[in-house]
Amino acid sequence: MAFAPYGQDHPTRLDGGEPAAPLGPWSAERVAELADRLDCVVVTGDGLVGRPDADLAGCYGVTKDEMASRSPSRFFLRGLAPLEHCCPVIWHAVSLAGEPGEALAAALVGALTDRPYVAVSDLTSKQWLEAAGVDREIVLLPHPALLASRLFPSSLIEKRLEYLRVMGWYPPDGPALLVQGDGSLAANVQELAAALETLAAELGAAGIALLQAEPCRGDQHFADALADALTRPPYRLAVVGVEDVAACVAGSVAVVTSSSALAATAMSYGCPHGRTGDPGRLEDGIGPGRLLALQEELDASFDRVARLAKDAAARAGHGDGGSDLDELVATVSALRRANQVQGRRMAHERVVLADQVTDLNAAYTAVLMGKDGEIANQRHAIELQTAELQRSQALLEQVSASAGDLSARLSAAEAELAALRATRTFRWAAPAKSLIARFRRSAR
Amino acid sequence: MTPVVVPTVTGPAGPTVTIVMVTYGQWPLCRQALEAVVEHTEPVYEVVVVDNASPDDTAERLRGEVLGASVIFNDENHGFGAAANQGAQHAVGRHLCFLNSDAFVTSGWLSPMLKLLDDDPVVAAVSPRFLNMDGTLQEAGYLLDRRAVTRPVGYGDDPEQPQYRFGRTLDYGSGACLLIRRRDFTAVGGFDPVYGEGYYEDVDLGLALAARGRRIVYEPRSTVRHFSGGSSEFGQSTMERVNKNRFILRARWWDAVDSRPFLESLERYPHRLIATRDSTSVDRVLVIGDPSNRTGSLAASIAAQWPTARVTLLHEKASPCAASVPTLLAAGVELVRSDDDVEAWLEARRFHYSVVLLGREDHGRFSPLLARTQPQAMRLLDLRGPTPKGSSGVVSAGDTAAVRAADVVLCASEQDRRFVAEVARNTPSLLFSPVPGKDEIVDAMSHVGMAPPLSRLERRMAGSASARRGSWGHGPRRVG
Repeated sequence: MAFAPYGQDHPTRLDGGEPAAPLGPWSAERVAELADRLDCVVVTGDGLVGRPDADLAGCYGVTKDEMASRSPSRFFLRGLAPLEHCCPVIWHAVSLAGEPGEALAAALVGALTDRPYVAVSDLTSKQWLEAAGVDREIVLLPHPALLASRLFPSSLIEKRLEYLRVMGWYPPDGPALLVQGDGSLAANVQELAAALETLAAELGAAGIALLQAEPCRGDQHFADALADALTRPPYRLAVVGVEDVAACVAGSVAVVTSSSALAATAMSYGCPHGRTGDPGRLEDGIGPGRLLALQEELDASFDRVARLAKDAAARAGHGDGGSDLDELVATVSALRRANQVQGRRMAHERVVLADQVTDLNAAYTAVLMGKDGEIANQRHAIELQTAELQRSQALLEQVSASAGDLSARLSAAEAELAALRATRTFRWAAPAKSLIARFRRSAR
Repeated sequence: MTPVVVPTVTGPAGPTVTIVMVTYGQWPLCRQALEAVVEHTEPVYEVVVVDNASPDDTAERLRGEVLGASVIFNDENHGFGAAANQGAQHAVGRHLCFLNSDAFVTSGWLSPMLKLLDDDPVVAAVSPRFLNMDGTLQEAGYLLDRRAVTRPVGYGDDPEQPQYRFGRTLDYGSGACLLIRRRDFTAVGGFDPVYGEGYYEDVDLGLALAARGRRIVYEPRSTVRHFSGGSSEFGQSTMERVNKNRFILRARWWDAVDSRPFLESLERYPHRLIATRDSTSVDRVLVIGDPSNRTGSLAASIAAQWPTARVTLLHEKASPCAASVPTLLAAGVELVRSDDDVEAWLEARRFHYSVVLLGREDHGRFSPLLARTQPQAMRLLDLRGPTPKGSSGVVSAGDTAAVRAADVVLCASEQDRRFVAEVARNTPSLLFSPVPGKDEIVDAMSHVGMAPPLSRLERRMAGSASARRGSWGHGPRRVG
């Protein structure tokens, strides 16, 4: 679990929607509760020790008294004393806000001497601790922000940079000179403005972008003052999350900053960087080989912390299979992904098959319908022919019947004529009839 | 005009939800939308309004008529996605709710959506049921096809039909109203501004979340009325932008959309519609039986264990008792009545299911249909289910065909198992309780090829900080 002075009790827009658990006000009871609940505690952060609690009030929008009454610095410095034998406290990449006075020096000696691991993130803090009398191994680490380029995928960085451009907070047509400073630098912006404009021109920057990365340290005050002093209006990055900070660093031609975290982020992206107080002296971006070496130092330190935490968990009887469990979950997760991919492929193939079955069914039906149609046509033709035949037969029968009738009538007439010819009158009248006929023919 | 007063959240933890509303003109609708929020939302929220350089008096009205909200005024229209990101940057709530200025929330809309996010860290976003202003359904989620064409589910239908009232995993949720965990939104970099003013930023967001193993779910118990098109004009130039964005999305997410069906020729290929709807569900279980009894509880248990699975319960006309329906729908079970056109229904889902679970009594009626339309599905036979009419209840020779057709048989007794061993020697049989527990169900489903459900540890790790920030680039390091 991650803890912060307020955490979920006071979410802020910078927490990315993932606020830490609240440390709560310092008390012996709270210390006992945490020592009982946790196996190991890691303290980390820039300028965490030697800074008055009241200075944090602005970060949370609470009064200085309210913040002082919570005493988060007691957690940062004294950890879970006197219960650290139950729950060890580790310092990892901590830096001091200033040189410790006598009282703080004594407190540091008391707090750090028996801790299993103490690592600081800058040489000055190490020297201050040694000068304060902390007589033990103090590991000097690179700043953890050197890991920034491994933290965010490049697609995310590109997406956020495009967003910043669309919003007009970053030059649309090229890299910026990125500038950040804390409130203490706001008084001397005139000279700085001129130097920055010269630097931007030398580097071919498309503009100067003012970043307010650390709102608790007066970045806005500095940015307002510098914006007024610049001859051309700068781009302003006022409300940004950590992803946006990484994006604009990655996209910039150089970074001028008063923040060690931002300088380390610039190094992580191979971007030249300089101190805000002295922008003319830029340090070149470090090469990939050097960066890799520094990142490996950090990896080794994280591994050491993980090992200590694992040992502490084992001592507390909470098992020692943490990393094995991670690997198991990762393996199961990979198998699930493979199962999903395969399942989707099979589902797709089933849809293709269903399409094909539909097409085949349709084709089959069409074929069936085609054959049926042919048969129906033939049947229809036969029916037509049959009907025609039947009509012809009927006609023939009618004609036959008429012919029979006519034939009968002819026979009757012939019989009647024969009978008539056989009569005595006909025979006697025959010579006269012949004579009359001859006479008529000659008359013509 | 009386101002709209957004209540101030009391308590140390601040607002749970930040409602982000992007405005571009249409003040009367914006005001109505804000009034609906105030009227229908418990005071656990803050409101951030981003005015995208409205061409009318909306900005002025926002200044004068809205109290208690943070209002950001842009001097140019940056498009929905970028402006929504801007609103999100000012949020302090654990969750963000993007709400269109023409979308009107209704009573009780927020709680069911919040519960889904709070109960499961794998759920990153929730989309409600959208109604048209005339009360008809506007969408019960959207479909996304192979060409990256989108299509609303159920447009113009009766929203109370059961097929629109069960929760399910979506490809994406419409940006008209989308509740999303802020850390997940941040982790994918928010809406991509590359889409400008032409839609598809919400589709891109959904696919980006899914690529991180997160789910976007549809919650039909939350209802939002949406005056579609009220916040944007839809002309020829918009269509061109939509098409341009469709191509961008298609190119970017080809691996996610390429295995989907085409949403065309649906009269000829009706199965494509349902295959697209369920394309996020690899496990698809068809349960046949009465929702009011054991079958219903089995379906609900399967849906609860495998939230990404599609569980469909096919039941007799008018058989479910009224009480069981809401429970099943809430569990994410799709209820379908097996009335006269069941054959056509099964044809329209040809080859869709991976598992079919049915009882003895349904074997006779459904077996030939299943053999024709779902031959690929593993078949689970529940011998504990209701017995065929006229049967003594004891497993007998009459059940031989059902047992032989099954891939796995759920038995009530050792006697049943002996019977299964006699008639189908190679078919696994499992002893199953009258009210089976989670382990029994997981065991049974694993026999038909379903992967075990996500463990509590996996869910927790999926929602942890390390997952949010992504890998450190070299995978987990072995310690010790």
